[in-house]
Amino acid sequence: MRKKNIGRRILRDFVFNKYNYLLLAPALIYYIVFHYVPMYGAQIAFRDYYVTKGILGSDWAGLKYFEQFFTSYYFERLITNTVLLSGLNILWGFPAPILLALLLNEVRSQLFKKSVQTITYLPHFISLVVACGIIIDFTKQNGLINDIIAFFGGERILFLQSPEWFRPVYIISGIWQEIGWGSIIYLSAIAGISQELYEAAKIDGASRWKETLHITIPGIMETIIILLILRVGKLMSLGYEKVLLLYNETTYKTADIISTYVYRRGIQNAEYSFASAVDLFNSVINMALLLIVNAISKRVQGSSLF
Amino acid sequence: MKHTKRLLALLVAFCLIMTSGACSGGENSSSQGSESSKQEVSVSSSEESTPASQGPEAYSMPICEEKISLSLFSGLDSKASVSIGTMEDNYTMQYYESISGIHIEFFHPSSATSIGEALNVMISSGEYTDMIGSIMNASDGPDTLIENGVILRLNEPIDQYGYYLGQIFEEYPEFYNQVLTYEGNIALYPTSRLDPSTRYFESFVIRQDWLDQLGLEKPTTVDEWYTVLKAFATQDPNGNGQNDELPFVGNSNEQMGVYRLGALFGFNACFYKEYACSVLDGKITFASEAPQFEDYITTMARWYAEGLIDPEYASTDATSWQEKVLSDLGGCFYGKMNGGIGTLLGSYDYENRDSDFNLEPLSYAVTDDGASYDFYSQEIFDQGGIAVSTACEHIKEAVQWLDYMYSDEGQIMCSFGEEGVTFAYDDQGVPHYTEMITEAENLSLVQAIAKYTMGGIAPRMVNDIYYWDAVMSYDQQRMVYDAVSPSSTERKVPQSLKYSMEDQDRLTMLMGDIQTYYQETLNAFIMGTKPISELQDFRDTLKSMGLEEAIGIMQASYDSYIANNA
Repeated sequence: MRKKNIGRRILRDFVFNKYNYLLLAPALIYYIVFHYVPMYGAQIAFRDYYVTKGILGSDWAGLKYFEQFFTSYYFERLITNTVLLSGLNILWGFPAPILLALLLNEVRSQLFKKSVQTITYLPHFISLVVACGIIIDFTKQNGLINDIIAFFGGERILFLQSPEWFRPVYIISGIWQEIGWGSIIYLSAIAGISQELYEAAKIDGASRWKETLHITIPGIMETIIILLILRVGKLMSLGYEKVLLLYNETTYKTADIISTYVYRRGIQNAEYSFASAVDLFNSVINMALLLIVNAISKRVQGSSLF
Repeated sequence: MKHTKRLLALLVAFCLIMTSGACSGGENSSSQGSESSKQEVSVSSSEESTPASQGPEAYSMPICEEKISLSLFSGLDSKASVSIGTMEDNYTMQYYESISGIHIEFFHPSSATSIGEALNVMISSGEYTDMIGSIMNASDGPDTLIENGVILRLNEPIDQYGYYLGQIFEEYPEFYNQVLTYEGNIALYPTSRLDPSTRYFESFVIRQDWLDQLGLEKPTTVDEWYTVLKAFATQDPNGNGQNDELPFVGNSNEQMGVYRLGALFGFNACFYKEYACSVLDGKITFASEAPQFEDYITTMARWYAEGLIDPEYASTDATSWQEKVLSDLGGCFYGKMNGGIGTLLGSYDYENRDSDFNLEPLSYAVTDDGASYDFYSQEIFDQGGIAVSTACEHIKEAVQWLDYMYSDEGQIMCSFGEEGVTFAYDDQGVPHYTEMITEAENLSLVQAIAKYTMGGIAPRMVNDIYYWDAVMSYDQQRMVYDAVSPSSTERKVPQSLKYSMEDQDRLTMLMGDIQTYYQETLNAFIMGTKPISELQDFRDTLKSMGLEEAIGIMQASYDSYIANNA
């Protein structure tokens, strides 16, 4: 009897909210088509995949390709590079938009605020290829940055050919690209904080700094935590595109990460099974990280994804 | 039997000439004419359907009496895509259709994806076009493709119908050997470089005007190279009062960089070319194991430290590399005949720049043993070609359609189109493009050629020497052949080494990490971030990565290659 009720309730829910479900449909279809269906293909990590034999027709290979990766000469370096590049990127890149949002919130001149916002958003809309072209031009031996260094009497640095400079270039340019765009969500979170809290604080004699510290930051803490969880969940899946556009053989030492390695071996050398195994391993680590961070946050902060 | 068929073929040709001649004289439009001729042909050649039992039979146009359509997967060359969206709009393709009676429906992959990727997608979809171009770019080797029923083994069809290719194979037995796969299959109609001069199109290139200005000769040994580069670096040949010259400029593409300089020492250091291997004393030798390797990296490190090599070579892309040459900074580089010498000579700003910009090709340096070595010229079979898929229902017609492009007339037709329309012969019998192509609006010469003919682009089969001649605008381009061809190719690993499927997989797997390690360490040696004293360590690490096993696989294949060609 109860069961029937639930069935009927779901049906009624569909009927009542049909337009809401309709709105959900494109996103749902996107995830099914591009994220769930392809999972079926992940099995080639366990097979000797040949295009001509197809996914189901290729022979099982067991854990051969995983072994190959774990015993690979570059296994440790790839893990280290990926974790370090991504970790440092979060360490420096994650707080940046929060700071910008807090600062913008204190700006009273609308004109100035809007100008800053527009200027900081812009790099986000530049195609990555072009953005990296700009970065390469700026960091050249006779590029702008080296001209400035030389002007102050410093030695010119070959930024893109020095392994020790790869991470700073990557992270700083990343902040330049994403700081404005990233701050939008925090600005909207700040806008959602009740004005009464600020008025009450003013009456109590709180300074602007105290207001920020005790009202604004706690007010957007939930947002920060959720975004941080998501970000850490992607720790290992650093996109290969930007690294690929900026690295070269001389900077492999710090720049070669799992995804670029997969690109070289999988796409360029067409070792599909091997590359799938590496990527699958990568995804498993990501999933584990996401669960761990989520659990920590749940215990400490009380806010979590699920 | 054979005689009657010859006669029949002659008769067909005769009918065709008569009818088309009559039509052009009369008031009928030419399209009606060709239709009526085809009808007659279909009547007369319908008896000719039994295939010959021995040796390919001569055939004549049209290949089919009734028009058929075949589909062809083929990349659309960027030279053609500026003016046409599909090769079906190409004038010569239309002309070929009118004489052969075969319509080709082209499937061009989007230019955004690589051809190999598009090919893999098509193969895994299980629905193939009748003919498949660029088949060597598929991730599965040709034998696997045949075994799993994607493409046809063409040995027998070529024996039956491949009249012209059969002749070429007889004339060039080494070509035949190059085309055969590991299992002895012919997997495709191979594109070829029959004329030796079409196999040479890259070399080192130097600013000849700088040499002249400094009173230097072209360098012929490594020591002379050093003298010349040093003079470029210190004597200000671009005359701007600054020591801003970059004597040797390379770019991040390993094919354009310092790797090439290994050839001056008599071994191959380029990984893209047979995994950086050379044949030394009959043994396949990896670059780091070559006796010349230490000399090479020591010299390179010295040149780099002294500023004779562009310090930014590893992070320079093709565009800024070109910029460096065109702004009178680069003095010497490795480049292609057309894309390098031709393009650069054509785009230099002669009006606003104060120099006699002139580029000339260099020969490879003579090594200690008195010989110079070439690793980068091509073989007759250039690893391209068109396969016939298992989906094809007209095998005979497809093979003959491909085969005709190997005939003398077919070769000229591919590169030059239709006589009297897109080209005309001069007194010596050399074809020249007509104004339709040379005066084409808004298109460069090669682009116009690609719009109206198959000159230089797929699906043509033979790299035609007349085409090469026609597109070279500068004498300096013609000098490449003379500069490079005298060098010995005995140390070059043959391009067409063959491996079994398992060996190929193993080799690819082993070489994956070796490539990364080799390239980054080589750069570190050259740039001085790793001392040369660590060479032994470098060699040991390579061994621990399975280099010996990989070289063993290659050696076995090389030995059987030598045995087959003895």
